Amino acid sequence: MKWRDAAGLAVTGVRRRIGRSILTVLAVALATTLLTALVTIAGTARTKVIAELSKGGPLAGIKVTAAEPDLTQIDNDDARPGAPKDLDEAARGRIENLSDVRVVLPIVAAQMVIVPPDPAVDPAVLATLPPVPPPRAPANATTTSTIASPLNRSPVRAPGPFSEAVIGIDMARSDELPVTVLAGRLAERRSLTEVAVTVGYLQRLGLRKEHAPAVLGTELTLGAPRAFVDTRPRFRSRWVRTMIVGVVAQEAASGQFLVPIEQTRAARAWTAAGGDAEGRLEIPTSPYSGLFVIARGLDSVSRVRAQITDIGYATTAPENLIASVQRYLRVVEIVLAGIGLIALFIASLGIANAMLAAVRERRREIGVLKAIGARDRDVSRVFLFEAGALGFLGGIIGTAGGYLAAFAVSQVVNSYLARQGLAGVTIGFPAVVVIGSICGAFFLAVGAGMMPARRAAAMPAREAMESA
Amino acid sequence: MRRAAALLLVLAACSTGRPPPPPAANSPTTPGPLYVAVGASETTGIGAETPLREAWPRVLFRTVMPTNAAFVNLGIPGATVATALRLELPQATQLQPDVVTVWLNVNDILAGVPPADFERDLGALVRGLRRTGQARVLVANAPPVDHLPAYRACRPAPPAAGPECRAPGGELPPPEVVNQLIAAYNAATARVAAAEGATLVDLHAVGMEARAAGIEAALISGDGFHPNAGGYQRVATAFAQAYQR
Repeated sequence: MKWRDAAGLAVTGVRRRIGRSILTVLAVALATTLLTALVTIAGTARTKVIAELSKGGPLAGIKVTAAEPDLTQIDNDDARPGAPKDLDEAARGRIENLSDVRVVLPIVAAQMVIVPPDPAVDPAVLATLPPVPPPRAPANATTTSTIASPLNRSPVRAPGPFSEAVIGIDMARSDELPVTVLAGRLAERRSLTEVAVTVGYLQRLGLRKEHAPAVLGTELTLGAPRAFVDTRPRFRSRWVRTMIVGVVAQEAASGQFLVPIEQTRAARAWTAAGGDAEGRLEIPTSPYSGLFVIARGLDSVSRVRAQITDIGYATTAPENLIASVQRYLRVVEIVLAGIGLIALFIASLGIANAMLAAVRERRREIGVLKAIGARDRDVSRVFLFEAGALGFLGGIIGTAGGYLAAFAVSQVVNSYLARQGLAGVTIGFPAVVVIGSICGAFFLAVGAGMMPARRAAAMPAREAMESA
Repeated sequence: MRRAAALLLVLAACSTGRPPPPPAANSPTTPGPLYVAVGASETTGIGAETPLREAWPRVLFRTVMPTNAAFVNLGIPGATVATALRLELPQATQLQPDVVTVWLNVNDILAGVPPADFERDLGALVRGLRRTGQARVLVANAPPVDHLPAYRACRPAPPAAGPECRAPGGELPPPEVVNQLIAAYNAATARVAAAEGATLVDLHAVGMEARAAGIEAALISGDGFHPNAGGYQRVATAFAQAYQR
């Protein structure tokens, strides 16, 4: 018997039992849909996360402080550094030359007094945003006035002046900064009048991430203190005006304000020119407050930290968290793949059951085939072809369904990320998943049809005719 | 907790894009002029609810000065012109400001400084601040004080709801005497401004306008002596108008 004849007989068999065939195809399709969707989602999560981390996202960053390492806390990712140790240009150069270091961003921090504007938000913009949650009076803020926009019944409190670290970064390399801009942009390079704030500042105002656009364009007054000693020490601040041009999701260092490094250098120079007023004012001696070192990949973080420690500086990096993320991702992949495989196993049982029923119903046909000279393998070929066709068809339908399911899930995830002020993910659907799913369903169906086909082939012609 | 943190990090790492940034403005990259305020408690903003935001030099700084300007407030509560000569002028000279405002007179009046001494010291102060014309100096005269609750508390039959008298002797001269003294001080201030090339800021006229409009009391803080935020706003406006002349 030729393959063509076997295919014709298989198609005839499918047509005769069209209802059961459709149900079998649907079972295979549903199982393939589930497996494809789970593999796609897990794969997307893994590749996106690992890719982000490996190319130097927030987790591949190492913070180097102007202090000696505390060797008793070598495995602590939130280390308490030892004695102060200046972090100068030479140290920066040595760290930059380390293998596996992709980029080094210098940080100059300055402790300043911040005077938020009153009103602290743009009421017109706030009116277009989600309602502001009920206010919680911050412990260190004095309420001076409130704004109640037409659409936001909850007032926004204008906090009183407060002291906070202002973080200066070289904005020429702002694209390397491990921060996500939620609204607006980072300050222009070398700008003396622009600032980006973190979500911490929004929280100070009683706002959430989604209210970030409301603070854009408002003006902060920043004051760097200096001690003047006449009859007694007096602290005078040099005040500058800065406009908020952006809101970022993470802090590059400990501080709610991100400015070009020129601003914090000027602030530190002002403070340093006045002396420490008998120790009441901290005058940093280190040219840099810290460095943000980005390793070439996640695997390099430990090595780079060890090398920086050898140079003599304390470091912190969320290494334990990185390992946790990787472990959780692996567990998620295993669980999702397990669920998909169970579904496919159940589908294969369905195929086997359907084929066994087909063998039982088609004994007369088997007997006739054998009576006219069909060999065992010819009979087996008919049933295997039928099983394979059902699996192939189910695979195609299931793969398309899997893509649609993964796309729907991505829409829900993206909606959540957008509410959190984060950029969305794009579901990847690689060719290997498409081909693998269809081929997998086909071979699984052929495998499931193997036993029924063998049983049909082994059936003697006479017995088949008699039992029919 | 760790799982939640890990999940957040996963989400953060998944976010690859950034919202499109707004067009960059022409942000100054070079330092602007330095503005220094020389004065007493009014200059530090006593009487305002949030002095660091509402003091008149701060309002002036925010509303009139270029965006890249810097500001240093050298005001000392209770300072007279002599105090400023001794403590504030050296610091101001060291800073080499481009713009200086001076409001010093009420404490001199309270301390009984003769107008001639006041004029001499104020002349020396403005001359020092001008640094031979390198800095622009704005000098304010004295506003009317005879309606201040703190003054009326030191006169016979003070208002029951007003503040207590804090004058050293327990009683202040009658309004006619005080007004004559203020007139002498203001004349001296005008002469100094003219002689030293400074700009006169007529706070006395501002106070009289407020009195004529019936809002003088609304511009005074709870201590009955210092302006409140609204009063400081008017003072800043007067300085701004003088600065822009």
